[in-house]
Amino acid sequence: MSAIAVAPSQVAPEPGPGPAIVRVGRAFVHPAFDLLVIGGGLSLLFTAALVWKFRPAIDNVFTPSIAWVALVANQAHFAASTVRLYTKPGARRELRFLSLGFPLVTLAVLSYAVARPEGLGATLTALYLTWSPYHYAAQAYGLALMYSYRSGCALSLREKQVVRAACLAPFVVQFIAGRGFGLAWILAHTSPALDVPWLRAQAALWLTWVPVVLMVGLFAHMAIKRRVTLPLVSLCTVLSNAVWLLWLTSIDAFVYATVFHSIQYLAIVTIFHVKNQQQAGRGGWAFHAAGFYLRCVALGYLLFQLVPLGYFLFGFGLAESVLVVITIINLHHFIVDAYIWRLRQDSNYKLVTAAV
Amino acid sequence: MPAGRESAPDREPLFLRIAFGLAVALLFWSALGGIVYFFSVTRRLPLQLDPLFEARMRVRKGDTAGALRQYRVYTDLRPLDVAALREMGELAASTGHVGEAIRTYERVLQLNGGDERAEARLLELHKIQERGADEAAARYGVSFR
Repeated sequence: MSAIAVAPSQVAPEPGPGPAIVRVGRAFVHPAFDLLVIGGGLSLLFTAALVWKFRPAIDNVFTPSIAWVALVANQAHFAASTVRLYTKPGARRELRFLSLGFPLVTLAVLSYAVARPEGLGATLTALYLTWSPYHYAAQAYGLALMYSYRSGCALSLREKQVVRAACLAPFVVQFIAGRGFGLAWILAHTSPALDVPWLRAQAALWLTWVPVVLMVGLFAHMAIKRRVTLPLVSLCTVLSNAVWLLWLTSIDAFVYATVFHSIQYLAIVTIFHVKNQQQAGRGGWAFHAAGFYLRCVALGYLLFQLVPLGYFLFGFGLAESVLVVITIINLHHFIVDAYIWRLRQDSNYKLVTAAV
Repeated sequence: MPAGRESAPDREPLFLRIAFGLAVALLFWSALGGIVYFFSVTRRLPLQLDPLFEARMRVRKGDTAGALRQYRVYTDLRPLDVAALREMGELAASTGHVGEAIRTYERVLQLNGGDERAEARLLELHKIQERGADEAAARYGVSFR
């Protein structure tokens, strides 16, 4: 969910003058579901509980069930982009290399990296850790714009830039302050003398509040000047991305962010799949949603648990087999995701704009 | 055009279809290999693979060199995992790789600034290294410091 773009000539009409109305936004399922699950509202409540005093209780419940949560949320979400690529109408025709040639390229790189874990494996791991916060930011931006447009709130170029900056700020913080990836990784391999860790930490600290300031500012500006506000789902999506990448990371609880990001992704991709199937006049929504989700879980299990064992069977170490497979699946997910969500001149576009 | 057949421009090029078939076959065989391996060893499918499982198994079987190699690979790929670095440091120290153990504990301290346990272990390891250097100097009549 990283590159949603809406054709500027087809933006929805602006509401007329009158008092600005704070709206949840036009939902796909139900306003509460869209706000809490896709908008990330649930994660904001969860973070508040975590920061307040429920951290030990939450950890006690989560830690023993982490393998199950990883299977039904995280791993299924990685597989979802691949399942979507092969089930999206016309994707195989439009994205020929991605759907037919890219899997073999990925497996070739995977095999070489498993054989050379200290070289290519470590480099690809640092690359995926660097890319991951950008992927989160891009998903937040795509969703924010999609709900905004879907709710009849067309954004000007400047407003889009503000939303993009608010989404990217947490990525920039991670990039400049992260240990073992991002700027630290690049400097370690190019010019270690230029690396000043305290300066990176200070710069990151200053950027921490940028998403909140930008989004609150944009919200207020639009309410005053245009008498129209961003839908709450859009606002919530951007703020929850900031909370995941900045606050959950700072309290050493980023693992929860990965779960919420996965649930958010699974929800929106399942909705698009179901709507495609319904447009084709096939079956009920529950059947398609369950079918799509089960395929994601099955593929996730195959990729994350069985493929590393296959490499292990062929004589590679288990550590490199497991970790390099995780790295490559992440990178494959980021790349596939960047293509399957392009809306312009795409079947996805009709789903977003339907009945606007 | 006969019904059910795609027109020429709509058909994927042969090399792409071969590449896709090859990828699916590779994925299938590696997954099948995984299933066969796990059923023949543990008689159940894993819910979550532990990347350090092999390293710990090798330690139990006495193959410390193999275990250390696995820890090296793991910490190269997950350089921020303090717990794994500690395990690796202990293993390196117990197998006589004092220099590697020192470097590993230094990495632990870089990540966990005030880790008193790591500081104490590092001090111990430096003493062992100095003792080793003194013994070697006395044996060969040269100074290594």
